[in-house]
Amino acid sequence: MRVTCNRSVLHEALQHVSRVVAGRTTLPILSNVLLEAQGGKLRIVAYDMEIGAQSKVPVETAEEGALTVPARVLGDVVASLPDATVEMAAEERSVLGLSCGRSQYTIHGLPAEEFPALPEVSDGSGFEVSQGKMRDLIRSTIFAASGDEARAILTGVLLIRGEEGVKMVATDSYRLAVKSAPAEEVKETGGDAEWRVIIPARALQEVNRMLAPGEERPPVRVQASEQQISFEVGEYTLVSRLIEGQFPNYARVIPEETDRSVEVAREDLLAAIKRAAIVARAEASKLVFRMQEGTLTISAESGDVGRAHEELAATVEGENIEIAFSAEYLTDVLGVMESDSVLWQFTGPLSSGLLKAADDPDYLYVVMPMQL
Amino acid sequence: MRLGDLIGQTRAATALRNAITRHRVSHAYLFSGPHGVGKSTAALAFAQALNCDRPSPDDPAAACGQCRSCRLISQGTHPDVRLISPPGKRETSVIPIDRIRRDLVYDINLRPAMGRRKVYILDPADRTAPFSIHTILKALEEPPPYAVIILVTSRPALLPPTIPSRCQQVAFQLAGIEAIVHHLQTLGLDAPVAAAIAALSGGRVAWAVGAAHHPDVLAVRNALLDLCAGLHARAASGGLRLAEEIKLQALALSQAQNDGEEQTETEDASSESGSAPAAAGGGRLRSDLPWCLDVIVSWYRDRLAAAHGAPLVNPDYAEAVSRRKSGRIAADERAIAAILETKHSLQRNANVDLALESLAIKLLAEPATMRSSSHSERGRAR
Repeated sequence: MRVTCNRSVLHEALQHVSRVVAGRTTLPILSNVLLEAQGGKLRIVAYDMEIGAQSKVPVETAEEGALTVPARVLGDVVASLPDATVEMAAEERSVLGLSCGRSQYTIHGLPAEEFPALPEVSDGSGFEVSQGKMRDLIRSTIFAASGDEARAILTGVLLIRGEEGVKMVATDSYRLAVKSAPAEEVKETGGDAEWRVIIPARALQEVNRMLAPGEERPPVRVQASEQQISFEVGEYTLVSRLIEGQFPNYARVIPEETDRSVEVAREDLLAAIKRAAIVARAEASKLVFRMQEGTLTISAESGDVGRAHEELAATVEGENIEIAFSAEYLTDVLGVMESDSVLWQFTGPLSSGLLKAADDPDYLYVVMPMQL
Repeated sequence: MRLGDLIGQTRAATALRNAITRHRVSHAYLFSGPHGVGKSTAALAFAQALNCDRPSPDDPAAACGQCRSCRLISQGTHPDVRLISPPGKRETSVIPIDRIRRDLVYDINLRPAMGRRKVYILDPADRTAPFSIHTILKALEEPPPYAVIILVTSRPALLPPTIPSRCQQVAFQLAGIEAIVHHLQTLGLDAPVAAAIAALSGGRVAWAVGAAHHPDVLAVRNALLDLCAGLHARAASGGLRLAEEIKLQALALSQAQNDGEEQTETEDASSESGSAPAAAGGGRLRSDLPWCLDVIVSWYRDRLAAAHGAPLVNPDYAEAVSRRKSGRIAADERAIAAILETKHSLQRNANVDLALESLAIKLLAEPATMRSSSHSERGRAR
């Protein structure tokens, strides 16, 4: 292998890819990145057996070939080089020579044949959405996924492709977030019209990092097979395995008819909840919400700490209600929403609350109350 | 390595092959049997057979060994085959619980990346952090359809009973000596050397192959047998010196086996700060000494065998063995008993030096003990 390329392009690609590199691993080669020169492209691959990332960088190829080198070492060296042309050449099967201006490095790696091949998702079903939409889908749901690996299925995000578009669903059994992208924003690219998969939240986090909203940016191309899913943005690809199992029937927990509701300014509500939560820290962040005659009051009390009382102007409909929620389950969602006001609907103090952004019919958030 | 190529494990290999050809692969297996007979090799061969892209058309259980899947499995980088082992080379290092959680309990929920089956090999399954083996219970209980969990152990009794009861058990045996001799000869060893190593391996193929790569092992064996051959000429008071000589041979053996692994050993020692390197050497001595004692036992065994015209373990020492005085059968038996007892007490953490000295004194004082013990027998009879 012998290639020359621009340092900043190489740096950016390495940064994207090497986040996937396994941190603590029993297989040394998994902390390496694969460099493969073919035609006018250098393929950079990292794979930790669960998630794989690949980036293609335009290069001038003098000699094709491949090898792997430790991601940290290569990344750190390239990051601190001056902006100039970088030349990389395989000196042996597993030694990379790198030169840039008057800097010269040799980096010891491992032969490319030992690197596990990144699985390809070729015969799957797929669709395309804009980067902005994909970012919305991920950001609006991912925080609701569980962190408890003992119930693996809840650590993932359910992706549903159907006639009405694309939907992402996440729940940790205390709360549920559902975000949809309507059919007109989704472009069919072949395969089945209806399918659903469960994607590890960590993979979506990586996808989210490579997205940038903007009109001219290329769309995200999603392709799923039985075993894995890939997200392609321009020259960057992320492949993840899928979680096996039956996702809980989430539709059942969305309250169908609610008789009480409150509409309130989102940012004010978020700020008030954050303040009141300071007092409630010792009480599992329990906040009590009272809705009556045009006001929403939030109160918290902790024996050792003291009390908090907040009042917000709100449009209240239906009977008065007193209900308690954990602040943690509200701050995430209010932070992610972008509308000016939110609509909060209830049926009773012991049933779940349904939270919606006032101007976004595609987003639903259900949260379980606490005992008063 | 194919399942059929396992040495001296016809029954285990047949059971595993039948599971594949008859489409009755179990979700969990317990590979049990003595140390070094090929359980780990069999686990990898089974994983290859389960995932091979191009199995032989007339035998679906024979992995090709050439396809990408087979190659990745033998390299240890197949995304669907996880080998979960203790991190260090030491006998005391265990598989940490977070490794089991991440690489088995969580990972089992991810669908296979390329293979048809996901195979998890816990080797050895009895060396997990305390109580952490229980974390795999749920995975053993309701595994996804594509998963196969293989627990490898030479000490199945150390597993809680809830584990084996959820696994299909595959027993591995000590291989026949002829099979090992044959295998060593295919590796290019001369017949007499192969026979000697095979006899000393006690049916443990892995050990025999290891010894075949270390000529020093044979040198240690020769030195020990020479030592035995010269015992009759020694003074009964030379016990301490004899003990020292046996210990030196055991150390030489450790050295011979260590040569390739020195790098990792020192890394191990430095990573666990405060552990004295001497302690590591001591642990190695403790594991190599039993083999040296086995060699000495084989000497006494041969003397008994020669008396009855039975085949010898060490045919190359036939002449020295038969140079025995008559009427010492009881003494040889007692010597064997004493050595076996020493071996046993070493396993129970006896002091190495004291145990060896006590043994050496017994071996040298044999005629005297014979007399005294026959006295005491007579005394008891009265």
